[in-house]
Amino acid sequence: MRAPPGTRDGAGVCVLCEEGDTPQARGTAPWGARPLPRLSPAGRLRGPGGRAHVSRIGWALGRLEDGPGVDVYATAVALPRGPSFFRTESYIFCVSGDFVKVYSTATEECVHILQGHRNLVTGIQLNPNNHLQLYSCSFDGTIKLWDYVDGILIKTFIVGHKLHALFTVAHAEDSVFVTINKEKPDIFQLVSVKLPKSSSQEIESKELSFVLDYINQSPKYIAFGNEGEYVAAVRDFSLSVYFFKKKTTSRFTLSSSRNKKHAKNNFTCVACHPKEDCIATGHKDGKIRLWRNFDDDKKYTYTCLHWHHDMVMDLAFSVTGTSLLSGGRESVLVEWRDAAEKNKEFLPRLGATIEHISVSPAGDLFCTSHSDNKIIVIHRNLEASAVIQGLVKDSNIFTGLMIDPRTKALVLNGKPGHLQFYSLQSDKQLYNLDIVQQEYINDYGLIQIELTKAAFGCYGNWLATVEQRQEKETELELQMKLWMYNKKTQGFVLNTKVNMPHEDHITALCFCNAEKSENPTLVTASKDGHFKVWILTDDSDIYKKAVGWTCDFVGSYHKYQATNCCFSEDGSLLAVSFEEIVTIWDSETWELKCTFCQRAGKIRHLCFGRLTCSKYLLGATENGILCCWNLLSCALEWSAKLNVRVMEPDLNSENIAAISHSSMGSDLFVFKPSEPRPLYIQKNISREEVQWGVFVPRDVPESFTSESYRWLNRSQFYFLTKSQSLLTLSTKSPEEKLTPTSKQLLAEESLPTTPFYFILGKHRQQQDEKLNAALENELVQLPLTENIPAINELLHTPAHVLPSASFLCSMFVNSLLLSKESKSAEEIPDDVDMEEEKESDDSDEENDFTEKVQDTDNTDLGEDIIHQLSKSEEKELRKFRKVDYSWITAL
Amino acid sequence: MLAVGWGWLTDARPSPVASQLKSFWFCRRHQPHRRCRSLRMGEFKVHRVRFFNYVPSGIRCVAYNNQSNRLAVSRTDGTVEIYNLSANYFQEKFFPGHESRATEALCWAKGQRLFSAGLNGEIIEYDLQALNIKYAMDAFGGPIWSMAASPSGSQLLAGCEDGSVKLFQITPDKIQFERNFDRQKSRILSLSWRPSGTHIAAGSIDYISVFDVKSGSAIHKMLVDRQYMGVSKRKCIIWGVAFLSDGTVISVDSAGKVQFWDSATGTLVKNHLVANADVQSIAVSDQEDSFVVGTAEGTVFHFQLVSVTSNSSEKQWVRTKPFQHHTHDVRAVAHSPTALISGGTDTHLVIRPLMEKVEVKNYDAALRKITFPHRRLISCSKKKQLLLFQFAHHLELWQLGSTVATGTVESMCLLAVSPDGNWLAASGTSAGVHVYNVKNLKLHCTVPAYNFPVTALAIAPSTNNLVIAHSDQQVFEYSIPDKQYTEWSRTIQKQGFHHLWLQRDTPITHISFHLKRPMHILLHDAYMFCIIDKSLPLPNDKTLLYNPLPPKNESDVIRRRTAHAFKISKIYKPLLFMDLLDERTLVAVERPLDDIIAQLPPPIKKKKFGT
Repeated sequence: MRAPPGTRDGAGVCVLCEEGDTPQARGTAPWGARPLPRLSPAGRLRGPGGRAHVSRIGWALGRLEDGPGVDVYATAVALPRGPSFFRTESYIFCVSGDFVKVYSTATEECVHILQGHRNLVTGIQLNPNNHLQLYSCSFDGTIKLWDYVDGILIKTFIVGHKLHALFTVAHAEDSVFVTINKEKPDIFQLVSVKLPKSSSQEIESKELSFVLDYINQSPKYIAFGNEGEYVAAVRDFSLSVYFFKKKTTSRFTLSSSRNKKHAKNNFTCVACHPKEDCIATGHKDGKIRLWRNFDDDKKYTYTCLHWHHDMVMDLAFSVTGTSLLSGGRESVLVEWRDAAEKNKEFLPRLGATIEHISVSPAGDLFCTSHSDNKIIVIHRNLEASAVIQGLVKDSNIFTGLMIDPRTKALVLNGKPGHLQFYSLQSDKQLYNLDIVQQEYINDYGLIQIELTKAAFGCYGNWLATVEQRQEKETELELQMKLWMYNKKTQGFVLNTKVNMPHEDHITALCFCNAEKSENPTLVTASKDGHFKVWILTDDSDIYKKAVGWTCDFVGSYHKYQATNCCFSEDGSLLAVSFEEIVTIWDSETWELKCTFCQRAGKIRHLCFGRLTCSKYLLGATENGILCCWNLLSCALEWSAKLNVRVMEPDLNSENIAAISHSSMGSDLFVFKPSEPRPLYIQKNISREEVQWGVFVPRDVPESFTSESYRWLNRSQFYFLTKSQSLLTLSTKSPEEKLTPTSKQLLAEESLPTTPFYFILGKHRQQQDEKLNAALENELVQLPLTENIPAINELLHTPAHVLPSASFLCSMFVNSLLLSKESKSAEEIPDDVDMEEEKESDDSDEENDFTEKVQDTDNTDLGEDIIHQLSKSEEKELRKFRKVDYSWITAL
Repeated sequence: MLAVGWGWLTDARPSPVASQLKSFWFCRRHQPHRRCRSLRMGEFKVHRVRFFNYVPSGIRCVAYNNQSNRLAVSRTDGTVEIYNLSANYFQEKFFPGHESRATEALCWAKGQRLFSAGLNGEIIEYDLQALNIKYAMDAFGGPIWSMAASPSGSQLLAGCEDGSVKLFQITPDKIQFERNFDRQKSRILSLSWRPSGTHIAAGSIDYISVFDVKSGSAIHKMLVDRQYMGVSKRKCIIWGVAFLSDGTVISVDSAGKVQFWDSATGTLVKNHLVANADVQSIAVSDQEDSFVVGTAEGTVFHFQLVSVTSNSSEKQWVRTKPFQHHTHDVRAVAHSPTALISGGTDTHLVIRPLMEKVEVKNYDAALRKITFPHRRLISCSKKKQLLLFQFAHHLELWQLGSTVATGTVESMCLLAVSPDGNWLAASGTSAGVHVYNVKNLKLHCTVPAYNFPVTALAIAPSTNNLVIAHSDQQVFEYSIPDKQYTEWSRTIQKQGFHHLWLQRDTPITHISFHLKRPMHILLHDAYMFCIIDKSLPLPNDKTLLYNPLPPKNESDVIRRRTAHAFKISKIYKPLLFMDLLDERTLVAVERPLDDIIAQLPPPIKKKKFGT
């Protein structure tokens, strides 16, 4: 959304404080007076459409509107979370915002992202007549048919209404069923849509025929049974069954009286038996009813199964119908065998509420999606075989956003009592660290132990966590744990546990991260008026090997509550804020060096400047003043009126990001402590309050030349809003961000590793490789097929619209013949491609030793062809020669 | 007077009589107080008697007869009761039991003949006309555990302790031993005929035998798994078997399983684990499309034969609904065409109608729970202020200040003598009511026959009007001198009773009159006590039948407008007896259900979620 050009360059757009005079006489920064740097058209960052974005990561499903005059782009990378998902044997599909993600069940990798819908995707279904195709429907009023193996959009059917759910039935070949909403906002209708056969890409299909009225929009409330002979829909207290052959509807209503016994009879989900006339319905009170004889209004009967103590969230029958799967808030997958109450199996401790259950078409895998943004693939014998975990959403974030110095993963509260390590690059949870180490009892009204603070120290060698539980005002349970990174196990191991480290809530903790500090030091600040310094000491083990943390120093200042603490970059100074006063302590002797007091309210944030600005200390107060003190002169350098909610220093530069909040929205300011003018202002980055932010160092520095984006060169800024959307600022459009590497993880990897595979598969692979290697050298001569338009067309046109093979054949051969002439012209792009491939191959190198051995052999045989190899290949070959393969002879 | 209502007077204080009674209880029986209370209600002083220590016996067997729509129920003390399901589930006949005649099996045979067998080894036939035992015959096989009449009703099988199955031929006036089947190792606990009459299934301990009736030899022995949820129990007792016409045998056992066997091959077809405790009883409907099992946990499960898909003929048995109407073991179940009937240790007989089989949604479609006998167990002497309590095997005569317990007595017909001693009204079990002149010992007249059995009879003192209550809750008043129904009775028949009056559960068991007020009739059932004032207008369906609140402060006008002939009080329940002692004193005998349950053995403990 690009704003009209006129609105961008007014000074009024980005006014921060009242214009005119400011309370601070000295060092007042003229933040409001500065107009935004005007970008020349050439300097503007361009996406494919010439637009710029703010990028967003995480749970956001709504749309972010760019503020006026913003030239940064939004890309949505939503996580596995959607109204429904289905799977074939080797792929799982899940809806994620506007996209459909295709995951491999074996590798848990995202293979494709099917994008093309312009609004939320609401339903996906495999094409019952072609299991390599997938239908999806969206709020944008279209049904799209995809080839999910290649990630290609085949067709788009334009229906026109907002589509809320999608169903397919095998026998109805040319029509699908969708739920639409016609008049009233809460009344939905199930209609069948005829999909006309046509060769064009976009087809209008407005031929709707009404099936059922007054239904619920969620696809969980509708199920098709017995090969599409009837459809069952539930809503509130009634079950409606529509028979397609008889064209009649039967309706069964449960008692809904207000008394206690029947008050929770509401239907919550429905599933149909694949072979028999049996409908399973889930209810709010945890009951499952199995309805039979429902074609007779009088003789209908049902069986009750009751294990869940709370609402049944979803139901699914196994492929043969012998067992029924159910799940709910208990986080236990229940398998009811033979629909018998006593014959049930459980898969407990799935971590979070089960929201959807799905069964693979062949029946050997189940799949559950959970409220904490997770998909679990479960084997038929109820063993979890794979977990696809996104960023856990279901908790309050107390710890804030942190970066694990080792893995560069984002660290924050995850499951209750856990820290999650989330890789921003791969959009995947790396692991969960159980901090509280107690069984989580999922019940309303229980006061749980909460993980409130965490900090990394010493380049990720130490992790400090604080957990608390407060049942009553006076009964505070507090525990601090210190975890050491174990290189062998590649994880954190509990080293020290401190019960009640302070008398009252811990408000802040920080490690001394100075490079030369020989002894790890941790400081905790608490509401009890003290700050404590903890150091790592010899724990008097007779072997002198055990180490533990002990309290070294307790400091206080006039019984004020300690609210923040912070070490300077070199670790020589410690700043602790006591309400309105900032105290500076010498970290060698723990002497109070000086104090700063601005009388502008309690200090909310405190941080030292870095690198060239390390002589500055910054503090943000509750009254909306941002102060910068010069530590050399011990005087206020400058101050600005800014209601700072988040203040985060960038570890790779002097820059500090501050996010202010007003009723208009949240604004981002990036500045250097040395100068009172902000480097960059982004107004209205979010409508709601931003709670946390963090700078994430880039693996590969960018090179923005523009002054206002230079701060993004070495780090990326991520922030978390109150509704728990994780957003970032980026200059790339979503299409650009998708690298082709993810597309390469395909079928070979997902081959099942059976004993036969080990015996025969490897052998065959080797043979294949021999052949391939022999062929490779010849193939090198050929230009890449993708560059020939004729072949391109051939491969990308749907098979049913292609002309006859005899016609194609001559065209195909011709295209290959022509290539020789244009070879010289195409060599240059070839090389570029090779370079790219090489990069991705490097990572696979360790796995492919056998292949490489074959390669070297072949190169000897084919001496005469070698001179024709491209430069990049020669480079690669040279690399292989350097590798020592002598160990193979020992095998 | 009555219109003043049933409000409690604030200055209620115990009468001297009551305090006398109370002191008696304290000194003689050491019972907790509040057993007998005297209350002033309206204008009656009420003796609230709760010391009738009556505990009904647990139900052991239930047998349903489809032809006569009657239900025979036997209890653990040997009592056999016959309920007429067409007559509003009225208990119309009753055979008192004896400890030595504890019944283990009960069955109907051809021609409405009822047989029972018990652990004393005898087969007993009951005379349903004379209401006595026709004969008892020893089967010579030790205690008899099970009995089954053949589908034709002409043969009787008895399963004995010594493992023998004995076949008896039913002759018109006796039964005759025919032969033994192959003897099994352990007692035969359950028996079932194949509806074609060619085979029988016999449930024993750990196995089920299938016999060929012609040869008398066992053709299959089907071993039942002892395993129970992975734990091996010592024995698996087959509590019940049912043979279906397609050759399927259904068995229920002590491991909580309901199993389906193929009798042709002797193999297990399907297994339903329904309970953690014993499944003790099974009954199949005549159409063989549904059956019911009762468990020791007090749950009754309904199984139905439903088609797998609507367009295929393949059918399967599916457990559908569980019913938890009992607290204790369900020892016996029966399946009538429209209802599931169950009874057990907790002494209730529960009749649960099948909604899909009920044509019209009327009061028959409601659940019934029968706990107390439909007879009067208490009589009272007004002048001497005595109460006579009838127990199963003894009587207790209570007087204020002293107590006497004496021998056994039993009464079957309903009799009523007019207070002046001139008239005697008698009701048989089926025919109408006959009125005799006592002076010349001749039949005076016969009240026209009515379809439903009589539940209570009484003759009014001054007018010699006979008041008759029937099991369908109709009340008639018949003038003996005029030999016709009275005008009031005709009026009420014309107008009809209030629908709520007709929907009451229990029959009227006692009728009495007020000496000073001839217009009043006092009657009661187990849940209410009613005074009919014939001088007031009758209620129609629009008026409130039950007085909602005692009209304390309302004006007389409104009271008069709302007043109708039926004054109903539901304060006392379950009410076994109520009568006037004198014109200002009532005596009410209650038997709280909690007191009965407290005397029953403890039920199987079940884990309740959340406790």
